[in-house]
Amino acid sequence: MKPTRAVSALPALFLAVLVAADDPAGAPLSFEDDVLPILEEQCFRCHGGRKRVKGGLRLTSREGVLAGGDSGPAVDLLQPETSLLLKMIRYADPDHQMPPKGKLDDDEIELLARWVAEGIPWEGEDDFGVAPDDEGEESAIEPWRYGPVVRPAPPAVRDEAWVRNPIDAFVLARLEAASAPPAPPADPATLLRRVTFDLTGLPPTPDEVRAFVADPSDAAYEAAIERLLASPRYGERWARHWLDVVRYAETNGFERDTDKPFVWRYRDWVIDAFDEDKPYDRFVLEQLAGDELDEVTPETLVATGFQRLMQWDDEPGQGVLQARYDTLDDLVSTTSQAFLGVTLGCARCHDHKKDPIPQTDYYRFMAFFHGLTDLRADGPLVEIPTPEERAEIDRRRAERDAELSAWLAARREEVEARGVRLLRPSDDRTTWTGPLDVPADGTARFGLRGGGERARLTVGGTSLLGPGVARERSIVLAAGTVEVRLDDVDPNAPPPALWWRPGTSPTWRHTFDDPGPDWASPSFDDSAWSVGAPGFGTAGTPGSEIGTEWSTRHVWLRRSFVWNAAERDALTFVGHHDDDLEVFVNGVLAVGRSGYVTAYGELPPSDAARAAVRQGENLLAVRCAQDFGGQFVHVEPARVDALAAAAPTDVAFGRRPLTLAATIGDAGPAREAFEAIRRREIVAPRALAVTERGGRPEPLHVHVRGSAHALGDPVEPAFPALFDPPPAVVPDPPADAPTSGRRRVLAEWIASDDHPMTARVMANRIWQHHLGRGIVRTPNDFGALGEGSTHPALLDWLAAEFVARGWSVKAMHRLILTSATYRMSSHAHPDALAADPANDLFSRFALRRLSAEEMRDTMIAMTGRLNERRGGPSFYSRMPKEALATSSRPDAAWGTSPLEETFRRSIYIKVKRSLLTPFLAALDLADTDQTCPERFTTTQPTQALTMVNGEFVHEMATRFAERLRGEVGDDIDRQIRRAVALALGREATDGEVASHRAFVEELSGEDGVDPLALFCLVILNLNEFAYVA
Amino acid sequence: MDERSERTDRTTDGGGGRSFDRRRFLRHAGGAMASWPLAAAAARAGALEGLAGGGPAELLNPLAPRPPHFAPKAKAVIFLFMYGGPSQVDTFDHKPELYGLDGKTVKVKTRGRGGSKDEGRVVGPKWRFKPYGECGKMVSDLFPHVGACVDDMAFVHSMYAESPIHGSAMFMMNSGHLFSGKPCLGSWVNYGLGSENANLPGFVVMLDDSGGPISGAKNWSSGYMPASYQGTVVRATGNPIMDLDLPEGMTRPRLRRVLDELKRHNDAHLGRYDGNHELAARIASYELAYRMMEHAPEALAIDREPEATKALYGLDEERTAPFGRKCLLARRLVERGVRFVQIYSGGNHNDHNWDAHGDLVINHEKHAGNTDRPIAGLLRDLKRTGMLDETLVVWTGEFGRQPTAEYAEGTGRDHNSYGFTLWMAGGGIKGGVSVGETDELGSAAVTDRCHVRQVHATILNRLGLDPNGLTYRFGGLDQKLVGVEGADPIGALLA
Repeated sequence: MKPTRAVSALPALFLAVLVAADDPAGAPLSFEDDVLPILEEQCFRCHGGRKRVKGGLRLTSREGVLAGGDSGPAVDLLQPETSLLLKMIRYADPDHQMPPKGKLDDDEIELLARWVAEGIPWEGEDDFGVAPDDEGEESAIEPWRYGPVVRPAPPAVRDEAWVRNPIDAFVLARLEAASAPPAPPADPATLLRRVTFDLTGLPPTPDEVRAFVADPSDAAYEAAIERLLASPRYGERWARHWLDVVRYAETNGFERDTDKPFVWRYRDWVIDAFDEDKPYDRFVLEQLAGDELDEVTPETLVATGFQRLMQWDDEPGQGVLQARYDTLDDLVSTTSQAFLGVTLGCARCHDHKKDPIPQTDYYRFMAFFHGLTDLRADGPLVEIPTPEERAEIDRRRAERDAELSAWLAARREEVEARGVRLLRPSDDRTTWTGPLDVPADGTARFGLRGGGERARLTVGGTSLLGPGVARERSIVLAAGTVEVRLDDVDPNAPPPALWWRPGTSPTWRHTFDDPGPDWASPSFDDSAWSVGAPGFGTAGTPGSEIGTEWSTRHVWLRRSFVWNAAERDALTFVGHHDDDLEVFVNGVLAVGRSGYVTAYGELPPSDAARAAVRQGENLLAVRCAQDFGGQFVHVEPARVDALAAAAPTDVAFGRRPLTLAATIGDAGPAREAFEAIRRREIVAPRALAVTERGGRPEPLHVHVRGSAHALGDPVEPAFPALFDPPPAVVPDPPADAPTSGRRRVLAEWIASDDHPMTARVMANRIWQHHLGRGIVRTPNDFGALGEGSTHPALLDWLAAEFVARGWSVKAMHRLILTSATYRMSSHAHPDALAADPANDLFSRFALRRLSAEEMRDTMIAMTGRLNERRGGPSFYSRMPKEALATSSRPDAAWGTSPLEETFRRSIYIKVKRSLLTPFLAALDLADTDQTCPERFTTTQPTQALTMVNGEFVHEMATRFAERLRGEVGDDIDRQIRRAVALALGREATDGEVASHRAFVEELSGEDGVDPLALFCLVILNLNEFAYVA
Repeated sequence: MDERSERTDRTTDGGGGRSFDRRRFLRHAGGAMASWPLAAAAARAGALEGLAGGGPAELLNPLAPRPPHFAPKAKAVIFLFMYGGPSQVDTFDHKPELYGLDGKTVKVKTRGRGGSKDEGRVVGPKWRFKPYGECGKMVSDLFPHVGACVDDMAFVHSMYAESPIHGSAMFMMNSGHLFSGKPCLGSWVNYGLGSENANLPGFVVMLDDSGGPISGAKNWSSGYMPASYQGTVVRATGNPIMDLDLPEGMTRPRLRRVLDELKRHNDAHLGRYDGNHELAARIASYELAYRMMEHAPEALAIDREPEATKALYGLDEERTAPFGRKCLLARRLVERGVRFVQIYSGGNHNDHNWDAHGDLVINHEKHAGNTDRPIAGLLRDLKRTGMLDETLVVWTGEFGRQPTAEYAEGTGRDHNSYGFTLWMAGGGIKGGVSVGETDELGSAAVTDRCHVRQVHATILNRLGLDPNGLTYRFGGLDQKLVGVEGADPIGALLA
């Protein structure tokens, strides 16, 4: 949809027609001699000549040409000239050009055009191609394998004594069938270390181990579980699993990788949700529709931050429209995998290859989110005060506003008084004159009230206002002093009141009709637009000064301005908008604001816009959208330093109530005094949340081949058919509804007790993080491409139990952790090693390496310095300079936090997409760009380098040694015993102590070495330390 | 249809596709009885020598060498990334008509950071071109030394891509997608073939001294693949690999004692776990790390090269020495079995790289001048040592530049993804050929247009991998570097 380009293709089209008319031969067209060679050489390779068919289009048969591909029929026999095939080969649309290798010669294009015009005659073979590759695959789509959850009865087992709860019956039945005996129970110290890491991501203390080893009863075990579930460390561990799934990060990625403000509130919300055991159905509802619930609270608004976690490109290479759908796609893809365990994203461009998901269903699902205000990084921040905070903020704002009003009133009097002195009346009071200092070149505006009907205003010799002329008018003035003169004033009429606003405001080209894409581009032709003086709007809008009436829904404005490119960083904007505003410099978005203001203020441009400033003329483009109530827009470029330092201007005279801008000027002491009051920040807490623009989203169409520029049929919101769902009934929103209510409908369906997937998917995740893998091994993909379930009945039983227990995640922990299955040792029974070599049947506990966060947090815990402060903005870990050197802005890429902050848990480390903390990245941190259902455990030499040479581990080893000395003094044996108890969660054996002592003693006496620190380094590198058994 | 792509197809149809995926990786890595990766290959590189008897028979080494799909022409890739986007009409895409148009306003569709335009003021090429080699290839005066190598080089003048914006264009050139989160070319190569030398990383990245490219490490990320396949940043001066140097107070013998002590305890622990392979692999990883500490400095010891070789790479000149060291280091790494080396010319922002928005002459003189001798030195050195036959050298930016001026005044050129030039040399690539053309202004590719994905396909093909058969399952799809629809090698380049 690029009209300018479509138009530019016309000459080529005419040319083709002319050539046709001039063709002297006029010979009949031969398919085999003229057309087929072109098709064979240029088209068949991708379109039917080989098994791999591109775009679903086969051009090797007449039927294939008429059937067309993903973009539609290639040829339209009724209107041949509009055929897609001809558009493509003529390169009419830059996004659809065929063949991609290069445009055909004009005579070849002409031959094909004639062929199409003649109704594509076909000779020779019916089909010159080969059968496509994927037809077999398509017919092989399995029916979806997940129906409603029906709670299965636990199977009978021979060794009933082994069964502690029904989980064990499901597991044992399979083991018995395979003759794989379960491993014996883990010893108490091992079990306590395991359950402590699993629930909190940290090791047990030596005292906790000692107590449990002394009393390893079921009651003591259950008490330990309760203690751990109640620990504030629990939420910090389990939130991390969810943050992996939702690809949590705190920046936007791409060139500038800017911050997502307040996104950490979402992270804290997840932590709190786990700690409070928020029922999972509620957990779903709040994230998808926290702003659409009956009772919206600050917390439910924060929860919708889930929908704003994706990458976002502020300078999208394929244009803003496509980028909008890329973010929505990211959201659809993540939502469907996170909550439903289905890869809907695969159906964006085509029907899903393996699961029964037509492309239409993808867009129906997207339609639930289509009302969202753009998910831009600089999109809305939502205020989230509590009622008390709200009241307090309102009170303080009212106070401030009152103070501001009083100050302004006083200032107005002062300015008016000074202004009146400027004009001196003649003795008969029919003529008033005076000099006026014009501070800068530009369009100044004058207005006159009173003085009688015949009063005339002359400015600098130019007659400006008078009988028969408007009472307000603009004039271009050069900087300097001009004579202002009022003649023919009626002394008996109300005294003349003259006001003016000095201008740096040249006129603007403007239109009220949608100019289409590219309107902000410097090359756009705006010569047909009207010309008018700023600002644009309707009278009565607070703080406005109307130059041109604008009362429609939108206005588009353009003008050029001159700037010195060397000083691009000094560029800023001053303006006023009511309501939504977008400002572009040379086509680059400079300012984007939602809502309205009531006074002029600074509108600083984006870095991208400053970077786009050119030497000399620059194109400024502004768009403003009216919502309701007042409407006004006026934006002017200004120098950053001018705002602070320029001299004040005498801005007005006369008696008319002065505008704000006229009262305080653009700069100077008055402006500063005003701003000092106005900017007294009284902000409510804010959150990165979602909003919609009213109740009626724009219609959504299927995007042919995933292109937002190729629209197919329109779609309405509906649940994916593969789930055999109820119809999605979205209540008709009231006219003033803030949102469409669609996401709530989606959320309520996902969170319903009888949903076939929701409980299964989450129960599988909980199991996964206790037993090392999901029952379905691909936790984000339960479909045909996923790996399926090793214990389907067990998963169904867990899902049924999850719903029956009120979606309580903690109840599921209790259930799983108290099973005999969980309590097995990681030492397999010898027969099980043979019968169940890959542990597919859960014949033993699977060893697992500590996650990156567990490793770091545990090392800090060893030093006794772990800072348990919860929540709030993230901190900056210590970033090695080698890592900083990989950033394009090594000096500005990262920050520093106080030492104590760096000892906080890893979940609070700043997550910057382009600069991850190397220690964590080395240990398989989740990728931040796509949903990560499970972490890898890689083992590689560069990890070992980090573990033995890295600054962090060495610092931890040194501090660990300090702690040991502090706690048990200089006795080596006691140091060793204490270290083993802290790090390995068990008592050291005598042999072990002797062995470690020999190492320490051997190193003692060497220069420049702390033997105890090296011993600690060994401990921190032990497999026994790094693994949960 | 040329012969080679036929063969590629047969390989695919014959089931030679490589498919390995996240869940398989996880199962192997996480299960107690992993059995896939092979120690034999690691032992070939000496990885297992010195491991105590009774050590693990098999290693969890995702980088163990794996056979290609078919006989490869190249074993390794050196990818010279001219970050910021060099101007094609000022380097290798000779447009004689353009000189005369200097200063004239012409109709031409362009799209860059400054938006879309339909006309612009031509900036004539700022350098003369002259013919080089037997093939008579015209090369600009910016690259006299590289020019001397043209008989070994193949030029693609008809490159095009989707995005004219650095961030997304970098991702496209490095990973075939406009968004990050996908594995990079170097990751795919290591995933497909493994590494021949376990003592060195398989995918090495060397950055400009002024900083990384925008988006930093995203440009050598392994995306959804395991971190084993991500690029390792190697520095040609100072501490070459993060944490390779010993920390203060540590000596090599002392570290050896720490590792011996660690191994003693870890071995005892392993004994209690029936020789669990994952635990064994972690034990081995410390030995591999120690070997890397021993071997990497040798591999990185540029100073041991003969003076004549150093001079060949421009190490004797201040301006060429930094890039020259990286090129020489790349040769040494490839010689030792490293699969994929990427070197960035330019980093940071603005004129620290090839992004010539301001003064074209100053910018390109700087970056071409810094790299001409080193690149030519690399090609000549590879050739005289016989390595060029098995080493594929690639030179490109993320896009090119417009023939017209960006601003009302000056010589700055904006980005251009409609047409740009890339060249390759060695490793099964024909010498002295040029493929494709831009229009007479050098603005947009018009004949034999080549997409970035075809370049990726060409590189994989030369390494013996079928670009349409090399897949990795993630997110419900068999992902490919060349995308869902696939891509074929550029036939005219293949020797």
